[in-house]
Amino acid sequence: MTEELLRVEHLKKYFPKKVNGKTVISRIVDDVSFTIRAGETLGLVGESGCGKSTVGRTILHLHTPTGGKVFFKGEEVTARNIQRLRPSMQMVFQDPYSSLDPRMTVEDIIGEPLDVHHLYKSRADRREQILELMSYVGLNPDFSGRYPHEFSGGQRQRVGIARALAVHPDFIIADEPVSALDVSIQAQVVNMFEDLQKKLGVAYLFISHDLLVVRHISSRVAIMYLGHIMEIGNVDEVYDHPIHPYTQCLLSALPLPDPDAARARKRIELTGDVPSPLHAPSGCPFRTRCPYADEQCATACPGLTERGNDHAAACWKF
Amino acid sequence: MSEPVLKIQDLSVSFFDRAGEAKALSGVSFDLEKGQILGIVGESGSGKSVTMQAILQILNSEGRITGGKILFKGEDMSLWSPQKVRAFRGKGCAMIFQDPMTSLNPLLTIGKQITEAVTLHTGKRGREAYQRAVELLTLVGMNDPERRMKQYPHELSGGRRQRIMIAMALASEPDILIADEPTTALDVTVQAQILELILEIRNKLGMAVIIVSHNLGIIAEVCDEVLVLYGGSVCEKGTVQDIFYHPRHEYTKGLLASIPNGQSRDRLKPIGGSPVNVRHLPAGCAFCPRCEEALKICLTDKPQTLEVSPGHIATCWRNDPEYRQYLENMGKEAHHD
Repeated sequence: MTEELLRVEHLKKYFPKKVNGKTVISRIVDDVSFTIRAGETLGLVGESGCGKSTVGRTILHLHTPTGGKVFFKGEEVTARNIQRLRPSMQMVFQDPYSSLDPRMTVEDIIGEPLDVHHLYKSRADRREQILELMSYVGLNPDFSGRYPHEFSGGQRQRVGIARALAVHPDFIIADEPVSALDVSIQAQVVNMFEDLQKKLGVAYLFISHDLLVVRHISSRVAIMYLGHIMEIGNVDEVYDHPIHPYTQCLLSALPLPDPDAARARKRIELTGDVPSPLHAPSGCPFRTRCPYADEQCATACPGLTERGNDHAAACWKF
Repeated sequence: MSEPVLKIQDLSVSFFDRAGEAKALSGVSFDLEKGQILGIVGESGSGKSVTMQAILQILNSEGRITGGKILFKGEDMSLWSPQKVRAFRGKGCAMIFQDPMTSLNPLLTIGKQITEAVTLHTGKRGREAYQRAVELLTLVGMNDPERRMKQYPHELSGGRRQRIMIAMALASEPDILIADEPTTALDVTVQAQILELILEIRNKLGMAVIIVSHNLGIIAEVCDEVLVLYGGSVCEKGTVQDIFYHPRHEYTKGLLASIPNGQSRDRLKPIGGSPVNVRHLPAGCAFCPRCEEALKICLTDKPQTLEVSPGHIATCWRNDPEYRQYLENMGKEAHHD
């Protein structure tokens, strides 16, 4: 077993929200726990508004956590040491258009983290590091003087990844990194993530709503719903033998690029909408849409319980 | 076979601006039958949105149809008066868009917006229009339609808003419904509901549907026929089974290989390079610069559109009978079938 890199324990992030003059607490992330081992990829899947991006941002203290703890290499991450730890924990954002400063050259964008963390000896060393990073992510180093608008979406995403890699992180949070890209370009970027992991041993928290991409890239996967993790485990185990009714619905709704299989399978229809985190239901968050829910589900929230084969689910019924 | 509802013949559209001409569409042809769901697949810049704009004649001022014809029930639309074109939008062909929030007016109630569409297209007024609007809301599966009529768009979820958009599109009982990325902004479970609804409406009302999407999963799920566009030309068209199980164009094959199929964990095979720029189309096949199987002729000559099996057409030199013959003579099997 490889060593544990990141441990998230009972992470909570609440946002206060003014509704009709009264302040209400919006529980965006409510009691999320998981671990990531060195060099592995944990996929974090969920529908919009389930809090998956907030989990990523709260781990990096881009939002101050409301409760819970995050340990990185055994050390608790706090507001005090986050600055020191950030070189080891980096982030890649979804939108390659708005996450790069349009007035900086690619060289300066990739070089900025090096400047911030004083990671070079001389100007020549800085430049050398930047050019090496560019060739790492498959960008032509001759283009270092260009501006973001001169690159395509896929190339910009590569710039964002080179910037994250500049400080030699052990852990990268990738928040929907391929969602804004064309299908044929997505595959290029997904392959690059895999290659970099093989070469550098970096671990990913891969946040996405695309279940097929997550299955492809992840070794483990966590399914989120309304701020809670409903199911977590080995990716094949969860996809092939889903326990939680929500996971089952999600997988049965997934559009398959295979016409006969897509038409043949039975879909589990989900009625209704995701409740607002302002009015989260009591007990199990999924009970308002769950076909199996009863009184027990309304009274208490089922915690994640181990079901064997590196597979845990939070459900009273299954 | 009866006459197709919509017949696109050799349609070319260009945009002219200071930088010159951008050939958004070059010679696109396809038929749309009554009750058929046609999927149009392509990357950004492939011309899928421009095709829809050309059909509805809502190209912006820089865009012009430079060749070809659009026939609606056998009538050439280019000969129509502006009034007739306006009546066609809505009555003949309605459209729903990707983002239901920006297509609804936030200041008006749902009821006001749907009755407006009903009045505009059917002439019904007052109580009658209200009744029809409630009927439409029921048709698109909204529970408690009377209450929904009084709500504002912001009070509804994305999936419900998309249902409202569909209800408004159906107000005119169109012959064709165009759905431009109808579920891209929605979550997987809601997406499935909306696709189910589109199928249901088609079965109930028998209209033709065009679904434009870059998501191959959605196309596989609901479409009968698929049209693959690249760089403003048709690569391939056939039944959904033809396209997904027996692709005969290298771009289609590339697209299918580049998406995870949910089964194997094999390395994805991306298509190299970036999508073609329609301002600088190559002399030969538009896909040639990214094609791994390109022949010499692909560089210089545009490939012919060939029927490779009944109803399945592809525009690729590798399907050329002469080339196939040559492969056979070489004693090799055409290994790409």
